[in-house]
Amino acid sequence: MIRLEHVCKTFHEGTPEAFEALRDISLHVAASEMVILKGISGSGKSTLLSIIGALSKPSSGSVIVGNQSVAKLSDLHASHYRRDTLGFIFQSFNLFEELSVEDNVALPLIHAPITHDEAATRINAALERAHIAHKRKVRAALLSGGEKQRCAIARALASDPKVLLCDEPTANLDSQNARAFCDNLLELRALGKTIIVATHDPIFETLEGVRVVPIVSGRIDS
Amino acid sequence: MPAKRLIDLLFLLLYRHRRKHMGVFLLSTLIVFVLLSFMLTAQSLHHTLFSALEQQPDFIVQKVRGGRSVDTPTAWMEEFARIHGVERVAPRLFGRYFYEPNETHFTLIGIDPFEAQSSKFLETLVAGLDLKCFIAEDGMLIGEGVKAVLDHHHFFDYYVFRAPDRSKIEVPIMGTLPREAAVLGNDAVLLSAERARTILGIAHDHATDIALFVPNPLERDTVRDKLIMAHFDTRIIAKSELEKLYERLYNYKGALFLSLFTAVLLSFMMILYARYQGLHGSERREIAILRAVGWSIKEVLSLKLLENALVAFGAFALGFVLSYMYVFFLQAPLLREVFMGFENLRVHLWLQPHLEGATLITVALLYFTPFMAAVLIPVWRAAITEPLEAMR
Amino acid sequence: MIFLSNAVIVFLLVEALLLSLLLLALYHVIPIIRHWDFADTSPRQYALEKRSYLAQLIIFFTLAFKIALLPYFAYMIDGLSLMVPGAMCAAGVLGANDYGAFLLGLKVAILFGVGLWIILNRRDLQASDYPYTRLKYLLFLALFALIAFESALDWLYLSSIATTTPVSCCSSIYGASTLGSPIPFGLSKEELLILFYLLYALCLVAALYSIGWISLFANAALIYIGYYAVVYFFGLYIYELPTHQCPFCMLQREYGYVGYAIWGTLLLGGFFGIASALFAPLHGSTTRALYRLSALCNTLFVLICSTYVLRYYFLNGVWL
Ligand SMILES: Nc1ncnc2c1ncn2[C@@H]1O[C@H](COP(=O)(O)OP(=O)(O)O)[C@@H](O)[C@H]1O
Ligand SMILES: [Mg+2]
Repeated sequence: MIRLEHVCKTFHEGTPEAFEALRDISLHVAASEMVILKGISGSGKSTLLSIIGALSKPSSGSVIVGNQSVAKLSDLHASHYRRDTLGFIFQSFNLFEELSVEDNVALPLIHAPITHDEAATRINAALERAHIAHKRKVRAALLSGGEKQRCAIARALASDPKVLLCDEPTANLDSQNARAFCDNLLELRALGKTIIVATHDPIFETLEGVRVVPIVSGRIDS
Repeated sequence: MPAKRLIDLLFLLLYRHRRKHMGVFLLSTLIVFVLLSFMLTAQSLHHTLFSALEQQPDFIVQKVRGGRSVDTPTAWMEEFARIHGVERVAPRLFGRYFYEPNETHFTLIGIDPFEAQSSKFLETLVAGLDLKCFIAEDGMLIGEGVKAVLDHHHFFDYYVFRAPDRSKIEVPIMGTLPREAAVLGNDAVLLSAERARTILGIAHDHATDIALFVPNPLERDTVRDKLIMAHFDTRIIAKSELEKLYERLYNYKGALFLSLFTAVLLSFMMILYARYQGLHGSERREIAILRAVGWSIKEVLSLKLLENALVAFGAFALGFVLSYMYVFFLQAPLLREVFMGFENLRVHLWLQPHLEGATLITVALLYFTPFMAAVLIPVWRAAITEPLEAMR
Repeated sequence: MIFLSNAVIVFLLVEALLLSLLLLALYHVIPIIRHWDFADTSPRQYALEKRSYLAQLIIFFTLAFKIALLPYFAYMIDGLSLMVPGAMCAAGVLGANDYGAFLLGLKVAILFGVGLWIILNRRDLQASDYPYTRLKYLLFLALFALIAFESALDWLYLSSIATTTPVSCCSSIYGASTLGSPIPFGLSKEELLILFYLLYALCLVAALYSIGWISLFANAALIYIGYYAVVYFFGLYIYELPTHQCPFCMLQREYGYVGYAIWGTLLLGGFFGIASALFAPLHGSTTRALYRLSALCNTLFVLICSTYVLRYYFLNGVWL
């Protein structure tokens, strides 16, 4: 599903402050596999996720998701790829606090070429799978931390993507909510989603059937 | 996806950034208000002036001697009436009467009761007034400006004119002219032809000048040539030239104002640019989220442009409503003096509600272009926000 | 006389502003033309990609206003006819000095270029690797030169309109001349009409079956023949006068500003038809949309023109 070959990323290339954040990363992730990128803060996990998500471009190397090379895409194609193939889940939830849960979940679909009914069906499905359907009309500001994260999951699922990318998803959750989040991810994996989680939370290593990939200063530690 | 969610998001963003937009909104409203008030006043005056001018005769012939116009012999009328294309010829009796206590002039207009019915100009002046009564009593009708002056000196019912032959003539006041007539009739005094002759000292076989009506525009050039050939001691004033003169005068004032206004527009652009250039952290994060969930730069650009366009449009709409009320309900206090500076009596001109699409389009062009031009770079800067920021 | 009217000042101000914006775009475009290489992964290329969005935004915005400015130009010229002695409509004002007619042609040509640029830009953004970036910015360079030239001419033209020298009115410019028929190829009015409707049918067929070269030819011919058909045939029914031949008077209020619709649909239909032929080698949905738009505009144009004729016939029972 995801194939990274010799990916390097250097920030501020060609200047004195040049910084090699990723060095020669090669990683294959199979469909409906769950991979945990484990490493301390600053090791380059977020950078790696952003390259898989076409939010930033590698300095060298190839990135193939599905059958599509995403290392160098035009902005429109990168955006469509993010919208249709990926779901992002962040540490800081990143919701629009004034919008209702439902409206937050609808954000990725606003420019999608689908009808109103189709969008409504997808939003409902996403809310169900993230177990937040009962709060659909509530403003995001009024949700608890765990509910916010579920709302974020629903948003990531809105376009029914094949791949979920999670960046420190449990950092702002208590242990009970973190556990619920992990269970939710396992359910989604069972539905066929390919999942990559960047984290230093040990809770993920206890999950069944996950592959842990340790990252140390921009390299895969083997 | 329905546009509704996009619109919801748009209004949410407007609400979120209301602090940022408020100053711009108020300033823009003020700019639109000033521009439109000026244009609406000018356009309403122009409209009134031209509809009055339309009813004027096509040619006026005056006798001149040594470059000064003198009374014109009425005997010429028969001669003019024979020119092909001339439909009607009429003598006109008018002149300025110096009102000493105020050091102002009244314009005395003598009207023939029979003429009055055939002249559209007089018809509009006296519309709704009882002409029969006016003729029977041999009184006068006065403009609002004249009435104010006479009232001030307690001439409520009559006024005593002094004729050149040292006689005193008492004329009863029969009424005032309607205020729609004010653009031409503010300082006017309408009396019978006979009275006007006496007060102005015009002989019986003479008139102030002679008016000719030539309805077919194609015949006017030949009529004009024949008039020139008929007498050498005349001055011929064509309505079409008056129209062009007025049009130029009117446009000159407007264009002068607009050129001066350029400086204001330039500073407006700079203020807008400075205001929108800085991006708040929260604004960056919003855009980063949208980009991360699959919005393209182009879609974010149009969202941000729409957000600004809504502010611009809202300010335009409010500015329009305010200026419309200021000009037509409040009758443009202060601004009116700018246009009326050349009048002899203080004109109490009634600005008639009149709106031309072209005026709106002109102001819209002049306002929206700099507005949108000033926000292009800030909008772009926002749209290229690195979506990575959402991850932090 | 540059203070001729409010509209002239506003027009020149807006045009100056747009030209400065284009200059700003030029500043960003030149490095893009020189260094653009999408395969490159250097920071410079990423910076260029971002700059390209700014350049496009400015150009797109400016060109959109430019399109709106052409009808405004027509309106402004028409308004000036009140001040120029002898002029009854825009025809006289355009003929007031040597720049007028050429300027109008240049403006229409620029709008064609502007339209092409907008379509090319769309295609470029929709592709996965910005294939036309260099091409579209080269086209922009050409457009920029033309627009700068046009702005200079606008200034020259408007500042040398004299309000004292009389000009000829439209009846003497377009009126029946002694030197034979003004209609091209010596066609009679009936032949002109038949040719007109045949060309329209050909345009429809070309759009229906997406045949590029026919569309190109037929639409170009329709603009040419359509112009004469409107001035020397349909115009008579718009003015309801058998002698009034003028392409400009119909822009006035007396005729419900219908001239804007007539010339607008004719030029747009022609533009989309020609553009669809030019973009046919690139295939894709853009071309089909262009054919459809072309057919739509041409049909509107023919409908508006024909309606005037039929209405006149039903009301008066005779042809002019
Ligand atoms: N835009 C940037 N410019 C310069 N350095 C950066 C940038 N983004 C990240 N880095 C650096 O790259 C390294 C990896 O960062 P990141 O991927 O965020 O780590 P993690 O997510 O594992 O905590 C850090 O040292 C960080 O300072
Ligand atoms: Mg991180």
